[in-house]
Amino acid sequence: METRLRLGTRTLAVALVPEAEGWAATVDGAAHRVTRLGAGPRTTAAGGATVEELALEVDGRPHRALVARTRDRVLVAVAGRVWAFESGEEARGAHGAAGSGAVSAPMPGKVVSVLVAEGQVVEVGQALVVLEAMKMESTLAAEVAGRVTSVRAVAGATVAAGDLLVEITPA
Amino acid sequence: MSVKAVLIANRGEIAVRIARACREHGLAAVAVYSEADRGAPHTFAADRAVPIGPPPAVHSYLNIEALLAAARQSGADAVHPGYGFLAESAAFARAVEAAGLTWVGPPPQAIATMGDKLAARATVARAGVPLVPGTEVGGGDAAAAARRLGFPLLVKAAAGGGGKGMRTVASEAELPDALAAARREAEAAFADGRVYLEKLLVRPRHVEVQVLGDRHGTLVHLGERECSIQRRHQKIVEETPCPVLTPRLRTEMTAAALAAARAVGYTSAGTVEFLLDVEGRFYFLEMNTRVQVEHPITEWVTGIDIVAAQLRIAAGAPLGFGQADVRARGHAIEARLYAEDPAAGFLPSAGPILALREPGGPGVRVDSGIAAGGVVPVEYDPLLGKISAWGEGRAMAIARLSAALRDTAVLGPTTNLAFLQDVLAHPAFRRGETHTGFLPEHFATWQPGGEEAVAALAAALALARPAAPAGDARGRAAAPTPWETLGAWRLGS
Repeated sequence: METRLRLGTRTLAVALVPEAEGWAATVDGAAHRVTRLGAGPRTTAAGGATVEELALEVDGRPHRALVARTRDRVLVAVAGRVWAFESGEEARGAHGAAGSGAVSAPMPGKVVSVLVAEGQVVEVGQALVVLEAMKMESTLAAEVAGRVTSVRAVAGATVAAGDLLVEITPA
Repeated sequence: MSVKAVLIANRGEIAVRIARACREHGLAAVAVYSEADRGAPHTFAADRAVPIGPPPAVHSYLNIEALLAAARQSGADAVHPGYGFLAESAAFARAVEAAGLTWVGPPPQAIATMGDKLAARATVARAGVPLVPGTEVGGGDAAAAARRLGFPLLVKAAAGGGGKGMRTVASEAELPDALAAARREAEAAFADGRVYLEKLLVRPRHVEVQVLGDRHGTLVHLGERECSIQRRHQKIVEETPCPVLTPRLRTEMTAAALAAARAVGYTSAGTVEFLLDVEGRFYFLEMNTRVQVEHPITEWVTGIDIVAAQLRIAAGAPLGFGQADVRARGHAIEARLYAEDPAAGFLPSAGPILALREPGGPGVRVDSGIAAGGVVPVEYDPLLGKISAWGEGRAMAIARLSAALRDTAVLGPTTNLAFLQDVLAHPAFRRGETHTGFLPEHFATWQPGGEEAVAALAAALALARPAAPAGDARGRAAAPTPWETLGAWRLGS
């Protein structure tokens, strides 16, 4: 049996079978041998997150991992890179499901400009709204192609994280 | 004039850095903090910390009245502005001096002149410093002026900075719209709609010169820094020396930097920025009248503590060394760690820092403004800290910095850590082939990757095991998380 984990835009099919000192892992059909070498103390961080440092060997190569588990995500740092795993069954965070036409503010900020109007047809990647947050301007782009059915964003307005800015009905 | 207690009108890594310099030199350091920064690392780095207001910078770190009140209340007799916020505000410098406090920075008039791009161009041009060919746009014929310069060109705001009020113009047809948009943006951002035209150089490098002057007539340069790796006109990787500077060009550029500084009677630490074109011609860009984010790499190779020098100069002491005493050794590179997502248009990220590991070892320096258990607030610039490394040569510096970044871990907000490593590993960077369009050219479609995904996955699932009974006794969340059920199911089956 296997389970699915979301890693960014990818979904991985994973199976992990316990062995004497670790696990036999299968990731998207590829087999790996994982040995657990040791672990640091488990601590509790902000918001009840669990944090642990782990030493592992994967296919004979040693890795040191720093792991933090929150309610809906596991963040893992290995070799200067961070992997954010979400359980595959979960919706994709607060910004609405992946590929939906609901575009909301990823963080509090100010709307600098609104680049689309209601009724307009947009393509994937088309710039919709320019948002200023943390002293930087960021462009929010369409994740789906379709027709803009509502524009809630107003230039100059302050928005909170999660505020709906633009809705697109997928074509 | 003496200085005993320094109010640090800033936050984050630079406030920590300044507090360290104060401590080393027997000065008391006073931190200030907004309500969003209660308990932030910079407040612990100082001898005391004074609250200055609500989270928005305009009510706290940009609030001149609140800062002066904090100085009075804490008995500080000097103010160090760091960089950003009010560091380049002549009005703040004047207010500090009018309050009878010592300003740790250049003369207010030098800040004002260099802060007005048109005044700065005119002033340094009179001192014989080469300028990017450009022209002021008054009420006259902008199109004719633009044709004389040639396309492509840039429209820039006279009061500009940070890319605001700036437009690239490829052809004459685009000029009217670009002028109007730049004027509008400049008026909104700086309450000053004046703009000018500048020739757009092809694949230029950003090369800047650090200068340091005391109030007794000594003015020296500390060599150059190359800062071409930029996204949105902001640097993320800086190095010294510049990989392509010949001794002759270095002599010319440092002499021009000193001439520019002298033209405004400069004292304290400052940076004269140039663009260097592919034919080895250089042009004055602007002067930053403050300590620079990337000052550590100059400290690495010269052994001179720039912040300590600022404090000594402000107290009226002579610099204590001359140009002949400044000798650079080896190569240093800095990487700026930002809470932002390079795979999503460098969208800033905020929130709690769940876990943090900072690197160390020979030749590695960390200037950090964050701590595990802290929060990256949404109100401020997303710079978390800087990691820099020194090596006898460039390859060694790159190797050390790469290893240091690999040893670093930030769990919580998304950071550019992996991106920085990929920049350092890029063949063009290794060859020193950098220019201000480097990131758009090589990293426009960057996505995070890495071969350790399986290890990460295994670690994720290993932590998902049900915790030991002792952990249960301390009380865990009542409802099992998807990870616990997944882990228990997976590992128990």
